[in-house]
Amino acid sequence: MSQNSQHSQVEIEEFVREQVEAMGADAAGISAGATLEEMGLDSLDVVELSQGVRKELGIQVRPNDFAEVKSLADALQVIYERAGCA
Amino acid sequence: MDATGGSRVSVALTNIEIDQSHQSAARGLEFALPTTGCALVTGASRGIGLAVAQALARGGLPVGINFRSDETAARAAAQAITNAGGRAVVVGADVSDAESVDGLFNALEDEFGAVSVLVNNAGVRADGLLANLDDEQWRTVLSTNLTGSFHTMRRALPSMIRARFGRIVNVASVLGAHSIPGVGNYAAAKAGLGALTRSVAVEVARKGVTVNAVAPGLARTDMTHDVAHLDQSVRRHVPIRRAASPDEVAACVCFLASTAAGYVTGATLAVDGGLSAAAFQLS
Repeated sequence: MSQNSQHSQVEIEEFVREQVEAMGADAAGISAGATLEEMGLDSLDVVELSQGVRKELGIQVRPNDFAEVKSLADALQVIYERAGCA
Repeated sequence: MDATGGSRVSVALTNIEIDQSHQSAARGLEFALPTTGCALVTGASRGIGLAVAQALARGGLPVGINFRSDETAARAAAQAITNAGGRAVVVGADVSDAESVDGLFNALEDEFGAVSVLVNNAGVRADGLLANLDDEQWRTVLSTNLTGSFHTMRRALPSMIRARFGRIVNVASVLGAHSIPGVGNYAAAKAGLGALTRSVAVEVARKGVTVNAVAPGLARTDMTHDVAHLDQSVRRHVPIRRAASPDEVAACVCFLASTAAGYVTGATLAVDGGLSAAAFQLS
């Protein structure tokens, strides 16, 4: 289910990049095409990210929504779709 | 304020209501509880759950008192905590039902914020020899004692992971590792709860969330009032020669919920008067 987000894609990407960096990913290694593994993130980090998106941005994503996510771009696409701004 | 620092609230365990002869050991102990969020205790209307809720509230944590059927007792418990200067709300839910658990958390989060301490205590018994055990006896015990904890942990963890802090304490049982006839369903559920405790502990340790269990032996509660020959069994098999009071179990839960226990995870703390350590009694 998607919703009409009050956030633009740019705002969402900026938030996600901040979160990913806060989780320990090397800022220089953060790119849309980078896999989560390459950024040093795992599925538990994705749980943390999804909770941050829910609580801070109000976008109703759940950890399971990211089950097939391989890259940062994939994760962003999931969030955009849930936010209704894909 | 950081959950683990700043002005800490201490739990002075001087109100433990146990035999006077055993009170001195508890006097003066202090554990600092988290200062953010709230505690949820399932099955908190009576027995060990009630004692845990009261102890956490004395330590300054707002407490959600979960009940399934005895709302009157749950409200009395909340009122007693409020009268003593603590904060508590009653939250009814059947933990075996995931939607019910979600509603429970939503209500509690609206009142007190995110759950930083989760105590899975709700449990039922439906004893019987396995050869005679019907499906409902099996299902009821497993769905409450094991699946219920899965539901609450799954719901609590994302917020704890996000906060990089959380304490989960599961109330297991000595019967998870040692058994007697007629408790196959209960023993299987409690053994499963121990395994679940360890598994989740290693999953979330690096996010500052600890997951532990206490394993009571014979405790004097409503759940054991019908255990045949309880006093005789205690005298014969428990090295300490008495049953635990709910407050003694609660004290151990409080330690595992405290910031002092930050390096303890995946552990099961036996609170059984030496029952599980004993091979047999020499006569």
